Amino acid sequence: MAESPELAERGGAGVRSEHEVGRRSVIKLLVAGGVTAVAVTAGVVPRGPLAAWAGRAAPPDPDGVAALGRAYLRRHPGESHATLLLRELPDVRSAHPVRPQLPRLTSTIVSDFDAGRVVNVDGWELARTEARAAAAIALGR
Amino acid sequence: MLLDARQIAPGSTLTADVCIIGAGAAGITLARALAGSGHTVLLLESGGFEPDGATQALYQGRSVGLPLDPIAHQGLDAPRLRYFGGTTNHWAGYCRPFPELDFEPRSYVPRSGWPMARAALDPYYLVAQDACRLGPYDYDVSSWEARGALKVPILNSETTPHTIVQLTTEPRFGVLYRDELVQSPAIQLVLWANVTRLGLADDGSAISTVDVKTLSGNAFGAVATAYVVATGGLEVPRLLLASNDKRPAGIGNEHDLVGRHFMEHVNVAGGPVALTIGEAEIAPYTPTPLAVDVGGAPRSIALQSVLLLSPEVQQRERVLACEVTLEFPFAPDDPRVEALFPGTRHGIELLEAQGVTTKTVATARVLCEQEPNPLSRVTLTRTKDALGMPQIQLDWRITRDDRLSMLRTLRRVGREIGERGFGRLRVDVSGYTNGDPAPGDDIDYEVNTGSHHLGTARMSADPSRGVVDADGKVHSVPNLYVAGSAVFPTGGANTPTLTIVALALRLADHLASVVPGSAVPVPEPEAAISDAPVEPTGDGSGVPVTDPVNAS
Repeated sequence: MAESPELAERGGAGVRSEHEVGRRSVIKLLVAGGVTAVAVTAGVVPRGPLAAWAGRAAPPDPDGVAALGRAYLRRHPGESHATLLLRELPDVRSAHPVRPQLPRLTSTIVSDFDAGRVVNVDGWELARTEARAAAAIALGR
Repeated sequence: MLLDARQIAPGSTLTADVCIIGAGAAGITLARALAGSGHTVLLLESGGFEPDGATQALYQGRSVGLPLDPIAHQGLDAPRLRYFGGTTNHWAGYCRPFPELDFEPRSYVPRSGWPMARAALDPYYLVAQDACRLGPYDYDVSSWEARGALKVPILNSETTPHTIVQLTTEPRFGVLYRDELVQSPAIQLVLWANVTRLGLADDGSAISTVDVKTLSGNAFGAVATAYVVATGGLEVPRLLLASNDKRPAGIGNEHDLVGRHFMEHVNVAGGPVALTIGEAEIAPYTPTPLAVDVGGAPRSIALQSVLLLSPEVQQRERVLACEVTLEFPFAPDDPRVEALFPGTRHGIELLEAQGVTTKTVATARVLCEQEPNPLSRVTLTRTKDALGMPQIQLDWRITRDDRLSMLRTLRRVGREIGERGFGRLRVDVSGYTNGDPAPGDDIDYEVNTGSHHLGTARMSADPSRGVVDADGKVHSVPNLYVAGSAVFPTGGANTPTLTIVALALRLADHLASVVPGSAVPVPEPEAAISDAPVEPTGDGSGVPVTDPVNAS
């Protein structure tokens, strides 16, 4: 199951390091973890170190909702039909643009969360209904 | 009584009822408790009262797995401190007791389960609470709200119950208890004393002596009725494995368990949370200073709320113990939000499209135990330190289930936040955003560590599954014990010090019941023993060490 100490020593150079710490991740860890330690000591959340990283944002996506919709469709390619999606959104009137109708979905979205009908879309933990609505918006663009 | 190992006559022997190796949180606690029960104690500490470069260098070793220090990639000596007080010398002071589930076997966590229930530790937690200079033994958020100390976090629910973390403002055991130990007639505190071998009797049945060396070249012995190794999760296996003159595999290693199952506490900034609640609502997740009264005496502590998954949810979701906090609140339009977590705006826009306003964006941090993994281990190398002790090689590993547990916990918290209308959470762990990995998907993201070294002499009632029994006694040696986090079978999502102290107190009770106490004052060895103040520098370079890691 496991190597002896001697084997482990001989094989030391060949034992694969399981990860490399990426530059971006190091920065995040430094910012998040490092600031935690300082914050505990000082009793405040220093903002200075974070400020240095302001402006590193990626070019803004013109439509964040559609971006989430596209991410949903990549995970659920079988739903890439507006008609099918709208059928799953009974509170949405298909003759009108979807986006302004999103507030109508609130109760369905809450029900989804209650019932565990949740999907993970590009990391976001979303109600299935709101993810589908975003997908419908993406298809309609 | 304070002794300087460099001034003890070479070849002499110090004696006591109990010999404790290592003066950190466990060793100091044990010494105090045993002295109070009429036992004489020999407390052997490698360092002095202040850090010393040459002594600290004795911790050096080789890391061939994940780096223990993923940020700066410093050596194995960086997360630990080898002088009086041990690693409490950079402890940040976080404390809470392990919940009941942590002690129970969990079907989905191989090798889980402690050989005792939480109830067995409860009376010791109570005493440990005071030893760690904390407030009242109360970890209930509602109770502390009733005291007016904090507000119960809005996310508190049956699914995501919250508990309290207490922070001591006096975490340095070496500072707290130095005078008491030095002045105790029952305790011989020996500084600059490095134990290099546990010596089995000729028939191999029990420990009959330990070899002590100093960096200045002195050597002598120590003899006691019982011996306790309290040197931390990396040095305990080192000493057990290196003491192999009579048992070639090392002491206590009949089942090839010594050094295996090395665990850390891993934590990550798990991603942004777009919240419909204001910054004030997440304030309880930040440690808040508080003055409390303990037995009529004022004491300063700090309180922090942490979110847990309920035992039922934890088991249903098959996740390891995790603890979540929300931190670093920013206004949603603060450019630092997108700098830290690109794409956060997408979730904010989705809420906006529903007519919901995001008031705050916080970071969800998750801290997790690791499943005990026999391949994550400490072994010895052929490289020797300045005392001739083999250095260690650490092959620290994280399993897929460790990483998956953190993702699943984040998702469950995200669902709770969505369900209760408080916003949306995104899994974004160092750029890893696959919140729902398929069975074959690689899960690879970087983690931070807690500088907690656990499990390398794990506790089990079954000698084939553990190095020590429920009392901390090495199964195969009747008078040898291990104290400290090395004995933890699982790590919990807790900082370990309060439990280390509670276990040490429990071990002290056990030792008091099996080791006859010596009412006779301890005679001083024939050689000159100094009561003079010990120099702040060691016998090596005298170069002070830095304190690069702040353990929690």
